[in-house]
Amino acid sequence: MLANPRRVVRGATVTALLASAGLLAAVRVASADIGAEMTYLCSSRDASYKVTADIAAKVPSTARVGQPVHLGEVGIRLRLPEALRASASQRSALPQGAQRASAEDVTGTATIAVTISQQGQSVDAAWPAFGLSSNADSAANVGPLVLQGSGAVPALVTDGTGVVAWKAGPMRLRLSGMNSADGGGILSCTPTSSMALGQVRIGAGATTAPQQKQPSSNAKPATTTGVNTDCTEEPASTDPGGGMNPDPSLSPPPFPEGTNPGRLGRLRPGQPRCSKSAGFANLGKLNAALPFAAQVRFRLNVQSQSDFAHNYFRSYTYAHTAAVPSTGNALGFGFMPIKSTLETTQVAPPGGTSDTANIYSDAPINQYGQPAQFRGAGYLRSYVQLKVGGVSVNGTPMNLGDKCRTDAIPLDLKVDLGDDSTGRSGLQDGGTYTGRVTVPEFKQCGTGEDLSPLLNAMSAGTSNYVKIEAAQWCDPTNMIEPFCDQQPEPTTYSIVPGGTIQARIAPFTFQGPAGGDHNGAGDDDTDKWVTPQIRCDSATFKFDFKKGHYISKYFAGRVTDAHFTGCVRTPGDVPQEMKASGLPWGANLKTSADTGDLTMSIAGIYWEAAGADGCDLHFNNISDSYDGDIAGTIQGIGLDVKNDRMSFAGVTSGLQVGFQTACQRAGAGYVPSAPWSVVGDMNYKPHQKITSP
Amino acid sequence: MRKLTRNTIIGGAVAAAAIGFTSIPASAVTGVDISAPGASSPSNAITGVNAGNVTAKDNSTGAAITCSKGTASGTSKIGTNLPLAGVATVSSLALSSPANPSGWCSGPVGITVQVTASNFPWTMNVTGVTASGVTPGQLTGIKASIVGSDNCHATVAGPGGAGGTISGNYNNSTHNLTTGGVGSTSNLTVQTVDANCDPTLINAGDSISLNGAFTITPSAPATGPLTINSHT
Repeated sequence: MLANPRRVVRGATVTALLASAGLLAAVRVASADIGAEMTYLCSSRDASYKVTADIAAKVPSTARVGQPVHLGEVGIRLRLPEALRASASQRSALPQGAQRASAEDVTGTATIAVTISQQGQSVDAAWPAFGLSSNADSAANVGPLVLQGSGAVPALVTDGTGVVAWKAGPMRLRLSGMNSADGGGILSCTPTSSMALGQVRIGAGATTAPQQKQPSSNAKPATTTGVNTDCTEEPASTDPGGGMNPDPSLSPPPFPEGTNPGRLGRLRPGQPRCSKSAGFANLGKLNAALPFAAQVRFRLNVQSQSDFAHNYFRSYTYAHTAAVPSTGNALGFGFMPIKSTLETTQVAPPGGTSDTANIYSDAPINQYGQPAQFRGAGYLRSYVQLKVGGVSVNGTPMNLGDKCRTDAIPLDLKVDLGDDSTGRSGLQDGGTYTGRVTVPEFKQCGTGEDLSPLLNAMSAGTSNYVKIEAAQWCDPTNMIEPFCDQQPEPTTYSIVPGGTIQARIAPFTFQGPAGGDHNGAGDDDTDKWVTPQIRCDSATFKFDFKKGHYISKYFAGRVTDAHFTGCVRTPGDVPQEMKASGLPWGANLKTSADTGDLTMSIAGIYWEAAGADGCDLHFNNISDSYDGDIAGTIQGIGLDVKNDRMSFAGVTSGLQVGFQTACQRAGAGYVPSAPWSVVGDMNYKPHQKITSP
Repeated sequence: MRKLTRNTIIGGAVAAAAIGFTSIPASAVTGVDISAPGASSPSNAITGVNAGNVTAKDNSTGAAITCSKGTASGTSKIGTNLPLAGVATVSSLALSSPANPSGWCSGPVGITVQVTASNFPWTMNVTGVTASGVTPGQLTGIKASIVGSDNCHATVAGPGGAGGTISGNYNNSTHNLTTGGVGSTSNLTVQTVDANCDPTLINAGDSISLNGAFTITPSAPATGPLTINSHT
């Protein structure tokens, strides 16, 4: 199993960072750490990357009104995914002969929008750009690329007592080593985690405080929006502000074909949940992608209706989304460099009063119930409004005013929740929401001259693809894990090269529980505690994995073929014909939040072992009614991507003997529900680089 | 290749149970013989580990709770021509699904559920003759409470809130104590639900079936599996 190399003790990271920046000697006794390890979603012209940033500094533990608060030098350390470096080197836009960027080659700058707030007022902290260079650990051309730097930031003076807090915002990252042909190596980064850096309490000072009523620095006011992206409980359906949106345009989709649910159940409070989401929306006219990050607050399953006969359940959930303003770069009309900040706000439908988003999900009532014939899905339906600001064209600020926005835009996104063959996931597992949205015209843009036509010529009217990855939902009441104080991040994978993978295990051993009359000599015989096994000379599984970046953890691949050769059942060495059915099976990926280990589950499995003695064993899962067979799932298969191995050592669920079994052998391993499991590891080829993201 | 139907597989047990209840009245069985190598009268401690998933199903709504891990402990009487009632007791039962958050069992529509069994000890009675090594019986005294990740709190018991009863059987070949499946009976009902419980999934008064198999292993001084036969 692989340990997650990114799991670093934060204290050690900060200390190392400060030491490397030469700061330790300058630290005053009466000081405290501020800083955080944060995550950003960074977008270049055509791809998105997850970047982690460590920011660290020292501030006085207390400060006084009217006296400057010096942070001194601030250290920054960025960890860039290998895919970012590799991707840049693979771009066709690279000049002929251009080499893959090595760590030594890569330098850059990071400009982070940091705000200082006190008593509801905020200002731009005006932190300068940090120069970045690679550290020694990143010298090799494999693995993440680590860049770090440091610099002095302006002091803060405030006229009021109370807590002053620093909060990081969007980041603009320019990587000089990434070749200027790649959009200048510029990435727009939107925060996807908590951005709080730290705080200091300002006490009453002996000196006369300035008369200003807000904290000030030598900077212009920030474009803070007051967006609260913390996880707070969504109001219950019975509380003010709670409940599904009654607007007819947000009504549920038709039920899946073949289902006939009963009446809608009683309205209940529903359960509060939160989920971080991150993704992008293409802007077709600009040939650019805008990053998107948000905290979504849910009330889960406030109403439902079901169809017992078809194992079908529709759940009604509602949500509010707090999106972080996202800054993007693009070329207007194909040549004009444009930078803009876009705010996405959930709004009421035209003529409506509720800005709530409705979510409908279709899923089986029971995971182990009778086979369900429909494909699971979730539908998010709401209206949003886009507000644009901070626009500069070719470096020249363009004053659009503060009212430049669109009308309400219908947003209809769908998440695939799988079927019995691929394996199923639930709304709370997170997933990939996709859809298309047409950007309408912006209005009221410009303070004197009407700049709306110019903006609309560049952005309005096209249908644009939206793809958002939602993280596993968390529980803000801390009743059921994951708790929201350790909120999961959206997880996607890069799989390179992907495509066809052949996995082989030789010998293949499949074993059941001990006990029973294996040789037919009666129960008093000595074979009663023997473990039954099916041993094959080899087993070969053919996988077809998706390829590229930003691949969802669900349905990342599938098993298209499985072959077994030279099989016998022991004891007795009874020849077996082992075969697989129900193909293709679904393959899903998962990274442990605790260990960082990567595992795979395979769903949709049916195996049959027909013995020469007439014992015909079927392996799958059995229904919760204990009277029928359903597709089997093997969870927890370890993926050792360094050594190209799939390990069954950590398997958390295997297959069971099914009811289709016809076997005269009397033994614990041959009766329905008896658990059997694969022993050993598989080697696969070709080598796959599977990283998250 | 000859195929048996699944009904035949389930049990031999089910068929035997049917025989026990109809063709040969339980009252015709005078006693039961229970033995295990190394065990001596009057009793021996036993443990049980699930063989496959253990499920509880609401027969009105179809909603089910499935647990991938189950462990039980108790005591079995050892001897010849023992009374049919109280041949064994269950003093603890723990159900979980380790792969789920907090190890809670899998409930319907992605809900996870913490199941807590109570009202121990439960009592096992033999109800019919042993056929093909399978002895029918029943487990009585069952009560349980559940808490779902949707904050639904519910309790399950027998009629009037007393301990409930389910039918089952013990197989001398597999050493499995099995409940549920075709022909099984249960008088368990949902006693209480709170306002958080989804009425589409669970309501007070719904009948509950319990399905699962536990492989029974006698503890030391026993050195081998338990064998149960109706006394003839």
